Amino acid sequence: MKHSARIGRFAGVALLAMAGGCVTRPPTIAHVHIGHALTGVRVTPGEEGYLVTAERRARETLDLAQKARVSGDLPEIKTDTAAAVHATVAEDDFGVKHALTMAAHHITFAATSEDASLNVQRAAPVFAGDIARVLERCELIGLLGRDVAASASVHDAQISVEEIAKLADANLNGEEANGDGVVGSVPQEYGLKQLRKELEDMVARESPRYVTVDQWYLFNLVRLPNGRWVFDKLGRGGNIDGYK
Amino acid sequence: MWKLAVLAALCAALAGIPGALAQTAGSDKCASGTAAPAVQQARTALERDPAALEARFRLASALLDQQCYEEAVQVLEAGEATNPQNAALEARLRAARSMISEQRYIEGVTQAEEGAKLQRNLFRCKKLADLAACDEALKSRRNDPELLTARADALARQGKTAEAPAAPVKAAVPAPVAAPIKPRVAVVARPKAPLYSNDAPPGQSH
Repeated sequence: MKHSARIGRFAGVALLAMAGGCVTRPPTIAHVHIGHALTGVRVTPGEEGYLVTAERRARETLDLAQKARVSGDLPEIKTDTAAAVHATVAEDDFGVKHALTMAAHHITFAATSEDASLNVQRAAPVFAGDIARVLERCELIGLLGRDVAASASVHDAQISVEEIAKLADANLNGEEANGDGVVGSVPQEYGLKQLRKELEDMVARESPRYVTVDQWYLFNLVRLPNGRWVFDKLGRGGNIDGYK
Repeated sequence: MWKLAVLAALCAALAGIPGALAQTAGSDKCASGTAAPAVQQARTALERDPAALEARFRLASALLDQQCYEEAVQVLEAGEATNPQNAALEARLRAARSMISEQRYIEGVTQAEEGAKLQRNLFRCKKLADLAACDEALKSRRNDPELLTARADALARQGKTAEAPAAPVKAAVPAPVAAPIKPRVAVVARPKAPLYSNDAPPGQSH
């Protein structure tokens, strides 16, 4: 009797485990779009998420600007600054500005999906607006970079490079500009760190819960001509109708 | 190219809602309450029959045409009480909310470009005594005393001390903020002294 009860319990547990293992529900389309921003997408270098790319490129910009800052050699300053500008504003090579813009677009895609939660629909416009200060710093880095390229002296170049380094740091970590003593307390002070938190807070509020999206779903979301988003069962990689 | 492709996809995703990527000048009009005739007519029709979903959709569409995206969302959200879980209503709400995303994004990009140009000119005027940058910045900040002082410094650095107390300085500086100008214009009179300072607090240095 005791033996058969034990077997019954074991069978029950095994059945539950099997059921749990077999039943895998695909993510919502909205969550896949969010995954493109946070986790991975086929088109980026290393197939990383757009926000991940933006963060990596922002770190590269800061490193290059700091290297230029301590150099006393004008050609070297110009080379490093040009590389920093490229890491910030390049479109075909996923600079900070482009990668962040793509992240925001994909959050908007998420919000327009049929299965988007109200939470995502409401968070998307906020995020789209909150990226503005980082974009502005990117533009400014580009303009100051041109000034460095045109500089005739180390002194003049260094003054602009110093500012570029400050902007690059703010793009990564946020800044304190309104006198409240808190870095990134308002969107006008945001860097990528605060923007990431904003997205993480958004996904933390999701119901059903957001879980990191499996790569297969990330890479095989396609948009049909009728506007519907579906997963390509043949796994050819989502790139239909201009969707990247 | 990437941007175009994504924007094209976004436009397609928003298809069916007119004026999706239109300019963002609508917000002022919406705030001022000067509604277009189409909006007024649609509003009147909805007031006659608040439960009619089609009338609500017409008003929302008219508002979207006027780029009154927030207002369109409010009108559609108000319909949720009488039409819970209505697929058509929810689709229009999603699309209308995405208009707000698009509007904020476009506003942000425009602001970023303009803001960066101004900040670059302010920075170069104050830190590098770049006269052309000073003049460019003054176009949008005519009465900025700090900028006027920086311009005076820039003029002095270029040996144009006669122009230093430039007409805009006298004309534009209001009395309460004139005080800080004095010491720095006084510096202009001493060509060998540093003509600009790097002591601006963070956030105001450019």
